[in-house]
Amino acid sequence: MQNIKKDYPPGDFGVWIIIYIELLTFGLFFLGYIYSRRSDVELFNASQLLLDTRAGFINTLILITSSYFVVKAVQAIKTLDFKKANEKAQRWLLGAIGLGGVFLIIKMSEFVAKYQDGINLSTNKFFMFYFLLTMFHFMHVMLGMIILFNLYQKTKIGGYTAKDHRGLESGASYWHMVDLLWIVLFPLIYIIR
Amino acid sequence: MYRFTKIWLLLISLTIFAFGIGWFKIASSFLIGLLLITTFAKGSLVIEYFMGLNQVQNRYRFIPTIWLGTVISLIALGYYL
Repeated sequence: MQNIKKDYPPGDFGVWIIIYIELLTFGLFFLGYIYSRRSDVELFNASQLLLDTRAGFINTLILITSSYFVVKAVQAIKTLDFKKANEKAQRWLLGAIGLGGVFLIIKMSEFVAKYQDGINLSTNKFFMFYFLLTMFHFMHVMLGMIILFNLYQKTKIGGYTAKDHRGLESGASYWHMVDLLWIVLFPLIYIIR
Repeated sequence: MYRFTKIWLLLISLTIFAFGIGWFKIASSFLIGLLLITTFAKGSLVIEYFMGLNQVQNRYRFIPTIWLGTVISLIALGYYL
């Protein structure tokens, strides 16, 4: 059987322009981090030891699982009958939003712990990158959750069908991008030394 | 749909591997290389299957993959050189 490929990525094309721009922006930050590290490897390694690797690890599991829930929501709309599809999608989206919330709580507790230890943006170059990158990503998680909540609201009124679910795919793509960025960010900031 | 569950489990397994390197502080040059390869693999799985770009024309599929490959390669260069 011939596998016919679609002409355009899932969702609105506009969201993909945003995704490409975000990837480029974060990519530059990642490279800024790794090349700044070269100028003072010992400082970066010593500072990295002050991070909570477990929190970073748990947050990675959370975002990956949340992304998986969003995939399940999209699959439900694509494959199940109308009423059941929206009900299932609702549950998956609610789960994804909940996990996003847990991510934010864990990340916030990391920020608070650092501030209580007297560590902030101006402590040193490592922490400048740490706060800049993770706070910037944090804002993207918040925006992603707002988008997911809007998708959830629409599934409550049966707003998506197997033929028309472009809005759902757009939001899902954005959420997967947030996950993709964290997949690179976690080893870069917490592990590589 | 079962395929997505397998991909999710694979992503979880690779994340546990990454955490192991950090937790046990065994970040040798070899393991960091392996970590970067698995990070590329994880990112590719998200791009291909979660984002669904394996079902679209290659020109759109390859943009995020090239981004990921370039970023990981430059991180590797910054780390090793």
